[in-house]
Amino acid sequence: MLVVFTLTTEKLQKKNARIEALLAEIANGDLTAMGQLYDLIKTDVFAYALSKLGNKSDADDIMQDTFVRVYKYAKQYQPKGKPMAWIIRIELNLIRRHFQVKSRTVAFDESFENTPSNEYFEEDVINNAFLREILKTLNEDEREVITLHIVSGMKHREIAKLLQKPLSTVLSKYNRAIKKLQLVVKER
Amino acid sequence: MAKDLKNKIKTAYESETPDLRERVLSACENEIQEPAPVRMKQARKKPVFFRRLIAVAACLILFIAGLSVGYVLPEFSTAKAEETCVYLDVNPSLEISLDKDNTVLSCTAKNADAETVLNGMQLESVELKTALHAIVGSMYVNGYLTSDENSMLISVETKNADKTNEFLSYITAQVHEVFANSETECAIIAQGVTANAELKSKAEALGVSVGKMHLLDKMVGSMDDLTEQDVSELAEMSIKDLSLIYSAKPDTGNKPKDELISGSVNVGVTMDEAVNAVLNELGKTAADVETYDVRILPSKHGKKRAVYAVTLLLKDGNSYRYEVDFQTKKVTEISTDTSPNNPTEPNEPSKDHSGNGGNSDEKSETPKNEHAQNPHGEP
Repeated sequence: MLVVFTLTTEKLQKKNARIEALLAEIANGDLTAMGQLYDLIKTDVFAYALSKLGNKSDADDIMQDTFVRVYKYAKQYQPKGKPMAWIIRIELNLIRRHFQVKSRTVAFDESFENTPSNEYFEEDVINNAFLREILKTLNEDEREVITLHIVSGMKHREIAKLLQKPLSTVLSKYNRAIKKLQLVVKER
Repeated sequence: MAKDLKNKIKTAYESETPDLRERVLSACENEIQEPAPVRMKQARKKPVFFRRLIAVAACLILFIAGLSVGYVLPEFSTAKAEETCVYLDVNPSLEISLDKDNTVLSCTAKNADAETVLNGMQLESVELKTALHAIVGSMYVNGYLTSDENSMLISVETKNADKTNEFLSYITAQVHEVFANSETECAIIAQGVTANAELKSKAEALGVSVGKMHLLDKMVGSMDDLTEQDVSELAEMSIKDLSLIYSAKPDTGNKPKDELISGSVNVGVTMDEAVNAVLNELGKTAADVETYDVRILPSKHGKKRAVYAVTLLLKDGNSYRYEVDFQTKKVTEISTDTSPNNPTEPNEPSKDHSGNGGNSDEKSETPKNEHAQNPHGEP
């Protein structure tokens, strides 16, 4: 068990070191490094956006905007060994902004009677059945903790710091989410 | 089981991740990178022995210097002194304190919106330019400065009053530089201010910044249409509306020396369109107008907004006062004075009308009037 933990930590440290090296190159305007960073963390960034938004087309937009902002602000990154926390914080700010704009837009749209609701968009369809179950079964907070820990490999303590929540809350949300998903797997 | 589940979750997200590589890279290509924040230079570490020696010597020097300075100048403080204070008002209100080298000593959020703008930014020891770029950039990113809300009030108080105008030009230029590559333009009123006790207490009483209070005082002092009674209402108006009113005030030739107005406030309706909307409302044309006057003033309807105040004197002797909204072209009647020699009433006068219904531009050309108040052209 300890061996597995050490290996995971080592792998994570290597990934973080690689991200920091790429950010340093990106800070010099290197687009090749940007492409490599995209390949390395695209799933982390997309998974977090999807877990918060629950909608694929919005998640796509946030994903793209996050990478563009990472490029734009790369010079301002201070290497501290936690580049994913910095990137996720950028993404989280974009998501919060997205919710603010959306709430204003919804209020505006409500004044139009003929606005079609529940419109079908092809890009919103999630093909992976298990992912659909995850989005359906877990609430936003649970999905957030699950993706940050399992997909991005962040420690619970780091997640607690990032989300400004007590560690105990993060742990209980994580455990509850895992139990819910274990049930889903059993029933399938 | 747990490991299987984790793998399953990871794979599920991986399978659904879209390929936006080209889109991202092409967007990055058009993006300009933000500069790195200026940091204090870190001295190269010296060997332990030298560090100790330097520390002891430094303590000794400080002790002797402290004794001498304390003897000669008892009020002398070793802390860096504030030389200049810059107040920024959009709706977020911030106060930047600078030392004599124009390095930020502190940056204080004066309201909740300003806290959102600062969002934990550490601007102490950063040079003014970097701090301004970071703050204004954050205002833009957080939606406080947009193409619709594009006004900013900059107030500067500096110990060396001769340098006030230099500061105003420099800060204004820096703010404009942030927007150099965007479609948004910032309308700026930059002014010198002396934050004495009286101004501070007035500002505190109205819950506004020192800079905004100074602007209100100037407005009331220089505009015949405004009185001291209007100050509390003006205090609740946005910087954009105040900027509109102040920028379009009649030029009396007494422009303050420590003031710089640049950029233009974005409005949806021009002055000509406002006059035509009123004519349209009255069912009249430019040919019916004897004379007219348009000013930008606070609404008389207690809406705490700036409006076009249109006064029309028609050839039949009737005069009308209307307000026209900047964004919606909504026309609201204020007063009608019908000439006793001509009992003709305006067409179904009402308290509230929309100017959007008819195309006033097609109906009538804007009448010419030498009294129209618009010294800066269209706002």
